[in-house]
Amino acid sequence: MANANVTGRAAPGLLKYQITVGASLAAFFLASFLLVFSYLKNAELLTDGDRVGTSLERLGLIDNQNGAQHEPR
Amino acid sequence: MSHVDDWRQAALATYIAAGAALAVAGYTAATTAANAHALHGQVERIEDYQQEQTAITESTISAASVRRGTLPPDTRPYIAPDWPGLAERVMPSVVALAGIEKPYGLAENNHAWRIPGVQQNAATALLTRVLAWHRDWAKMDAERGQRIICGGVAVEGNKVLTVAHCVEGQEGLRVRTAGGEWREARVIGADISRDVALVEIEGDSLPPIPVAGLMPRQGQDVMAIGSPGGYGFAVGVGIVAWYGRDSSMLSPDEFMLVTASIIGGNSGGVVVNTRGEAVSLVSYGYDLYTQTVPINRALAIADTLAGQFKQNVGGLQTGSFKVQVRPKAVVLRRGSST
Repeated sequence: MANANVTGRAAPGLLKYQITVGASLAAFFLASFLLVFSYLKNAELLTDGDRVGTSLERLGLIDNQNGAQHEPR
Repeated sequence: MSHVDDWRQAALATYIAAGAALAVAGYTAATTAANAHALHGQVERIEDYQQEQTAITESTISAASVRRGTLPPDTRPYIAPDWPGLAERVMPSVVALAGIEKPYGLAENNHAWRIPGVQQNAATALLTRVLAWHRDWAKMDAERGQRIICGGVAVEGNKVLTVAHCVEGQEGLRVRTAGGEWREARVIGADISRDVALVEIEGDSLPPIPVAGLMPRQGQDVMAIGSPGGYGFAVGVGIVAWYGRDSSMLSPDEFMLVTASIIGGNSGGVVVNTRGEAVSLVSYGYDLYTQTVPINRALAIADTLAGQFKQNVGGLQTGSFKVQVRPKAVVLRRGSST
């Protein structure tokens, strides 16, 4: 392999992998942030949305319907 | 294995895992952001609608208009209120409504899912499951118990009239009669946007309340009977303050505002005039004022609900309701005729 460490000059190949690991970890942090953001937004939806959904029904702005189910669309 | 190989494997593993994590996170973030956007849009829609409706109401209001009810005014000779006698006379027709709230579960009953544009998918299911675990909804569901939540009044046979927001969101209903007896109850139908519900109770019929064919004039005395704070069969007195169109909480319609004070639990309670005749049902409150649904409108909606219920069960005899799977209660949609 081109990056075999037989001459003590493996740095170019190693750096490539190290950058990949670093970038992946950064992506992990970003994914974690997005998941926490989503969790908080979903919690807010279930709190405020319950009130807003009730208001919409009572004001006659939406039809009443049975409780929706978790189903992929 | 060489040092470089270790790094290569680590890079490959983290690359794949990070890609998967980003895909999942992007999917959940996109869903929740879209849901938040839909929620925000509906909040604005409600605000716009209420502004528009308020303008319509204010454009028609006058001192003369607020004196007129939906029935001819009661010009019969004035009867001075005998509140203790009146309470005694009316009470046999009154019930206290007790319910057990629907469980949190995994938010299946949450009204947020009914908002146009709000989507449910694997991401919301996962996030809701985490929220349920975080907030310990299972424990809260296990601790639910029956409690008196509203009032109601017998109108015919085993039929009890109450308001829709009392039965909405309840998993099971029972009524406490004035004689201190618990009876099982089930919802025949509910019109959420007009806030009227019809409930059927088991056992012997209760004496139906006499219904006024005339509306009390502005300033006349009335008494409301309900279950404030769960204290069933409590009475409160006041006067008729206002008649008119209101659209702040329910779909625009004619209401009767009274000064009989209410707190949570009075809803669904009957309002009677000094002759002991039902004139309206308690719906909701504005500080010292209570908005009530005029009895003629409530009965008209109840008639529609009862008619639709009969159609739903396809001519089954009433006696068979107890042993079969409960027929689906009627829920009127906007635009249904009353």
